[in-house]
Amino acid sequence: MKLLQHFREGTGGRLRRILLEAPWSSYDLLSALIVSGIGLYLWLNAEMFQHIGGVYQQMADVATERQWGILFMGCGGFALIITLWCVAPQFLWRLSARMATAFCLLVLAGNNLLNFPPPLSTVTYLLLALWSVWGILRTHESGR
Amino acid sequence: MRVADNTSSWSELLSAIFSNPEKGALFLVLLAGAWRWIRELWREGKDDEHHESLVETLMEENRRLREELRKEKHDHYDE
Repeated sequence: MKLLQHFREGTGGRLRRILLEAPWSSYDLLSALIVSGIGLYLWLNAEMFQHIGGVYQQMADVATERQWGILFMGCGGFALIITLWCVAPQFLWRLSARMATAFCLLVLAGNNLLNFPPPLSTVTYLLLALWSVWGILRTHESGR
Repeated sequence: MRVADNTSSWSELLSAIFSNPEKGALFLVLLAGAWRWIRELWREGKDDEHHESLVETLMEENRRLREELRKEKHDHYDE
């Protein structure tokens, strides 16, 4: 009982503050850079899906590396502009920017999860994707 | 028969979502975005309602005070 109270006042409280009150711009910036970077990488490596043994087969079935690259660069670039805009953009712009990055990260996480066993990067993509969805749910009319 | 049909159509939809990462991602993102937007619109409506009721209360209070003042003035002239 005392241990639970200690946790609630200590690490638990800190975690709650991070999840509910901490500014999200740093995560927005990071996720936008990651998505843009992956987009650029895919755009430059037009045969990447073939070289990495079948891990990205689900994505390859839908579109080519270049097409995915353009989509990821578009989503990441859009999110980057919204995050770095000098004044807070309107709610719907901020929401759609977060939705765009979450979509890209969820595609990567879903693609990895369809492999058995899933590659190591699944953990990273899954956590980033879940945090992005949480970011969508935490977008407010007031504040960034 | 209808329940079985519904079950199979739901399972088909779910398997389509899970076997295509982009469809699943789009579904989840749109669901989360729509949920957030609706919540925000609802909150906005509630704030407006609250604001209106506050203004109405202040106007009512103002009317009451003016009425009291008028009555007091009237009593004063009577005396």
